[in-house]
Amino acid sequence: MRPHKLVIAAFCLALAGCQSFKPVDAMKAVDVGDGIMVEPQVAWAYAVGPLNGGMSGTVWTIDGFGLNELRFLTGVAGGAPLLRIDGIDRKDMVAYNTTMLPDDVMEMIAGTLGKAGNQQVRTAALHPVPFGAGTGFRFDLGYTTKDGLQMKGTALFAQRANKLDVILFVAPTEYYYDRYAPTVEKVFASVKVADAPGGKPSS
Amino acid sequence: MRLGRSAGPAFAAALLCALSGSAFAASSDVLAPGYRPALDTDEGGLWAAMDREEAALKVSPALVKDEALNAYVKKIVCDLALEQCTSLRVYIVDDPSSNAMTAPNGMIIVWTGLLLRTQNEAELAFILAHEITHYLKRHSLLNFQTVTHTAGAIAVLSASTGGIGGLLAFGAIGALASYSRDQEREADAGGFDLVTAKGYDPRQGALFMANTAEEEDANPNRTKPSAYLSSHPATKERLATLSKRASEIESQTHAAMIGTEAYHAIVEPHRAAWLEEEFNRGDYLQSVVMINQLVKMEPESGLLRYYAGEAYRRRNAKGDIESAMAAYQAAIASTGAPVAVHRGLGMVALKAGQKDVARDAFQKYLSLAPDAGDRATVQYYLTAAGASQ
Repeated sequence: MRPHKLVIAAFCLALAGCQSFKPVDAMKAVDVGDGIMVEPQVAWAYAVGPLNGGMSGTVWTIDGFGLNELRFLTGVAGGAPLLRIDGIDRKDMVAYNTTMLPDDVMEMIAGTLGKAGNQQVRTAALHPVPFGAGTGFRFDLGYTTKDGLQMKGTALFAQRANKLDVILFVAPTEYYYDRYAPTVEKVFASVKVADAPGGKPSS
Repeated sequence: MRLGRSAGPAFAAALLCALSGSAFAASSDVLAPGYRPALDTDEGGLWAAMDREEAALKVSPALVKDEALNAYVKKIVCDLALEQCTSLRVYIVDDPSSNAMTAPNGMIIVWTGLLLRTQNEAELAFILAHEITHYLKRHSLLNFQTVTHTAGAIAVLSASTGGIGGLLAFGAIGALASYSRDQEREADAGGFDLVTAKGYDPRQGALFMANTAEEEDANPNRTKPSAYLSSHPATKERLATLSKRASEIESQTHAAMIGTEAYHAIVEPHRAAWLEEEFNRGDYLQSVVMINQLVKMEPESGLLRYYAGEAYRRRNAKGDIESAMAAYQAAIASTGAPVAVHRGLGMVALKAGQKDVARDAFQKYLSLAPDAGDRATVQYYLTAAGASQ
């Protein structure tokens, strides 16, 4: 299937912002913050936002920003928003609360994507999964960007020691999501978590 | 009550009477029906740019395609605009913002967030009549001519290739629709005349604005007003003006049309989806107020009671767990609440430490929705509430 013209437009945006990316070695486990290690599986490039989309956090991509984004938002403390968005005051963001249930966290992530200007944000299939030696949660999502591009995504998160860790993958529904979803599944499955800061990661 | 088409000529006459002496009729540059500017003029170029926006909007995934809803809103526009009906095209976009806009080429865009908030046909008619007046008075053309001496014109025409993204981000049309306060006053006056001439309750426009103001006041952190109010004169001024005019003609109004039942019948199939999207704005302070406004109008609605509970649960301010629990229980006692009300009740009961209530609610949810996609998560909650595996 040929990429849709909107995808091409997104690719142009990706090129415009790619100068700030650095390589991620496919063969080496990477500390993505808060004692979380993941295995990249393939060669990614990374950057620390905010970038074109205006959202903060460490972002990995294969083809370019906007085409596939694996975003790591780790160590989010109570009272803090999930991330920063250019042009939106911190006090206008929904903040993480340590009493949140998994549904609440999923809604906060969806609300944050909405705050970033995306439309028709949908979530589905929240369910528990292993996260290192503990319990995390997964859910699927979809939305339309403010440029009209339909996106699909999947999120993995865990609430540990009063902090929230989120790994969020999003890509255009057309072509890109399905192409990289199997790789992202392997990245999610590779998560290892240190029991304490500086401790040895557990799988 | 709805007015039949057979009443058209009588109301056309009434409309002419109503327009006489108003700011709406005072200007001589009201568009003629079927008007289309020459391409080699400022206005022609502007229309061409808006035509491109409209073409993009027609294929946008954000466009709401429900035929009944579109036909209903279009009919209101046509009933108000009379012979100008053929010049106006209505598009409903799936967006939780409370807004409506008119492009100079006759494209009217209505956001679903607005349709969620308007509580009856008369309120919606006032908003649409306000927009129709902007079109008839060519306000956006005047704005364009004002900005042609600035970089703003470049922004307008550049943004006009952005498709729905530009529309939703108030790009091209947003720049054109940044009306002056005098233009907004004129649109209010013209809109008021149109709806009252059509027989709508003259008070409903002011009631909509009062609700909007109450919703916005609920958020002390709000950095900017709603899209709908951002370019408008102070809400209190508009409220006072419209209320005064309503009281002046109220005694002459014998059968004011509000159209609550017709409106609810048409929006009801969409309400749950629109309310879910409302939460994606992430502005729970306002959501609580807005949904309670709806509950006040329809206290017997289990669906609205459920979403009031959802709003409290998500806001999670002091006392909100108790408020959410009360709302969920009221929803269960009403008709029309979704099965998810039991999950919501279980969640707030779990947070409140009422594990027995939580267990009962979660078990009820799973018994009513055995194939729920979040079954494993609810089982997790049940374990947390002390249920045996």
